[in-house]
Amino acid sequence: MISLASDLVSGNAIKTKKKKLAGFRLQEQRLGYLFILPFAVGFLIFHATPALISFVISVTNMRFLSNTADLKFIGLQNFIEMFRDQEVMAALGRSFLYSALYVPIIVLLGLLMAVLINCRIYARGILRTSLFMPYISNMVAIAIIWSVILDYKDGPVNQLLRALGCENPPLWLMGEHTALPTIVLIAAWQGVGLYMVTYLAALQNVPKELYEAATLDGAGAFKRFVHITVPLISPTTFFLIITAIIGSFQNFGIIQVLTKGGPGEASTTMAISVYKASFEQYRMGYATAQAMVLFAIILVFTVIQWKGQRKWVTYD
Amino acid sequence: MKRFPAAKSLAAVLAALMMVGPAAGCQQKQAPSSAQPASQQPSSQQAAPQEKVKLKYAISAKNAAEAGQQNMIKSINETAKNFEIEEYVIPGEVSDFEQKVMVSLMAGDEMDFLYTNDSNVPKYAKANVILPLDDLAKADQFDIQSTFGDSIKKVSNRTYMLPCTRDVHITIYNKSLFDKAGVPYPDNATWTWDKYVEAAKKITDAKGGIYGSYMLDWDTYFTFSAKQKGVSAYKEDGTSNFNDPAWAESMKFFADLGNVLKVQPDIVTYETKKLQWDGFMSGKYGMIVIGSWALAMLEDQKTYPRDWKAGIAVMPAVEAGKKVALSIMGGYSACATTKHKDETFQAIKLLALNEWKIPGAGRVPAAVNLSDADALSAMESMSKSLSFDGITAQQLKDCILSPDIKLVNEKVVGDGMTTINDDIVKEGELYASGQRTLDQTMKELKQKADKAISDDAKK
Repeated sequence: MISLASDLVSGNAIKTKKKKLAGFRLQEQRLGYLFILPFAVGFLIFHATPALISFVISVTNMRFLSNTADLKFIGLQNFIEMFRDQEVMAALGRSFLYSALYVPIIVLLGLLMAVLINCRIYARGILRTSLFMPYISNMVAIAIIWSVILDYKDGPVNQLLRALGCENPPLWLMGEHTALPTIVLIAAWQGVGLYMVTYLAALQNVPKELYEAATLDGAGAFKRFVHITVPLISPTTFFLIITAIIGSFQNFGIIQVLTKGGPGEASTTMAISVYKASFEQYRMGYATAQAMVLFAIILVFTVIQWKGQRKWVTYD
Repeated sequence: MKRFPAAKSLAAVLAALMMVGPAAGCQQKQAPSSAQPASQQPSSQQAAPQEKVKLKYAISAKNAAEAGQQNMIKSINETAKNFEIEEYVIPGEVSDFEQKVMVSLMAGDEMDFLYTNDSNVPKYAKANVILPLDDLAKADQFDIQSTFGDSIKKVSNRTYMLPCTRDVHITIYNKSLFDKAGVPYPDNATWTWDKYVEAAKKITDAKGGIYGSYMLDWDTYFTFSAKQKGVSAYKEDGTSNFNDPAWAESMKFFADLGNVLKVQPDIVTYETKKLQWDGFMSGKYGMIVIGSWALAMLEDQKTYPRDWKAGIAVMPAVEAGKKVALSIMGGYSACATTKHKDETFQAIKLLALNEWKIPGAGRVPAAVNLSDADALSAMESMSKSLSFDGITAQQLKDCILSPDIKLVNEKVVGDGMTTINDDIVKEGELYASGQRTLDQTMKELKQKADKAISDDAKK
């Protein structure tokens, strides 16, 4: 009797314990949802809903937001027109060119700077801070400074080039063929601080014992870098490449401040083209179609990167 | 176990704070004002009667700070019985201001009226951001046509702007530099572009940093001689007319002033040195051809202190004896988002008819039913504020209001105009900086203009 009772009691106790655990997990889940609720609401209101509205606008002939009297659904006409529009296709080409230049420069430069800063050098802290400063600087201030530095007639860069014997130094931001690469360099200069700091954190997380073991096995600095450092920081590299690609397509601010898409159309990328179609030509439907295509391109790149990471990203 | 209720409460409070926090950060729509205009003096507002409706006047920060503007608003507020004008400052100047106003109005920002010009009105009317005024004028028994005549530009047979000011391109010159170079002052009867270049060459001293001429990188400068010749930017079939040689000649003439004749900073210098629109006031340039609105620079000795005197002449002519000047009509339009249509119409009517009488406002009247005495009186008001330079009312009348001067629109107005005016600058800069030949430039401009026209025509 006593054993039966005690069995009953212990069985009940186990059930009660399980119930309490389940209740606790449910509470935890509810708490979790409660914490992500503000973000989810904000995301729905400020990202998902405008994206959906943009898609709807892109399949209409909307011109002015304030005049919808002639508004009608036109299907994919905006997209078809866009792919036939030489100016827009040229802008798309320039966007790809910008990205192709910007991503390798900023990722490699960031890694190089992080490797150098990671060494024991004098005034490392001050160097790190000063290399990060452009990242937090105001875009307009950056534009003014670089306009002075790259001044065709009196700027220090061209003065140096003339002193070295170059009779016709480049026009830099005013040159039809030099404007876009110059903007890429300025943008990379401005953004490299963040990449350097991110890589620095990754480098400092690589276990020192691996370097010691490799040194004992006779590996030189280059081999240690290639076979230990690069694989172990590959998750960071993956993250930074995706960020750089996304950031390279969202280049409206820096181009608008430096050249406004000029000279001519030399630095008009898709972001500038969307702006012009919206706020200069007042063709909202056409502009949002371009924005949708830009979004799709960035998404495709991100998916390709995500799928491809298995081949080259090393996780612990 | 006892910790859970406390943790739960804390979590709930934090979550609530995170949700409420962003909402608390949002503010009510309010005027993005910068400078506080002198007209908004607390002591003068306290006694304002309750029934006076406050009308928001969309204006740029720079214009809001001008003494003439402030005088104008103060004068109107003292006269008006049922409304009071408040400046509603929109950031940005010129084209940036126009763009921001357009976007704000499309977004539904409440404004009552704005100052605009006849080249912007078609765009604003198409976007439904300004109101047609014909019904309001009829209700007020105000005859727009007989008051303003040809100054009115209708859109789809409706009036959207009450014109108040006529802006005419003139030559402003630095008398000290003319005296130093021994060059006689321009004579309105014989002033041509050839004489302009001749004078500019004599004044230019590149080593001393002095140029005889100063021009800006605006679309008007690349195209002024073609417009003065009366060559339209549109053909009869609706396509662009930039393959007419007059446009190429105009482009070349402007570029040559800097690159070949070297009488003004070339476009590369202008852009890389970020030279400003008011650079003429530095005293280093002999002449500038610019709209008469720029006479406000001469009036403003505080912003532009100087010891040299200025003179004015008509815009140089392409052909001797045929005076043609670029012009634009400015005026007031009622915003579609106004909640006080009647009061707004009263305000813009008052401004359109009387602004030129206000001291320091510096505007030339657009009304056609002005007598000669009234026209001279308008110039006298401006002349008083230009007393430092000794510019007389008659001189102003001869340069701005003379019936001998044929006026042509300074902008390309028509389908695709915003893009076309923009492309003129872009293509012009590429040509003037030596990166394109003239033929390539005009071919590109024609192609782009044709595309802009057909894009604008799409519905």
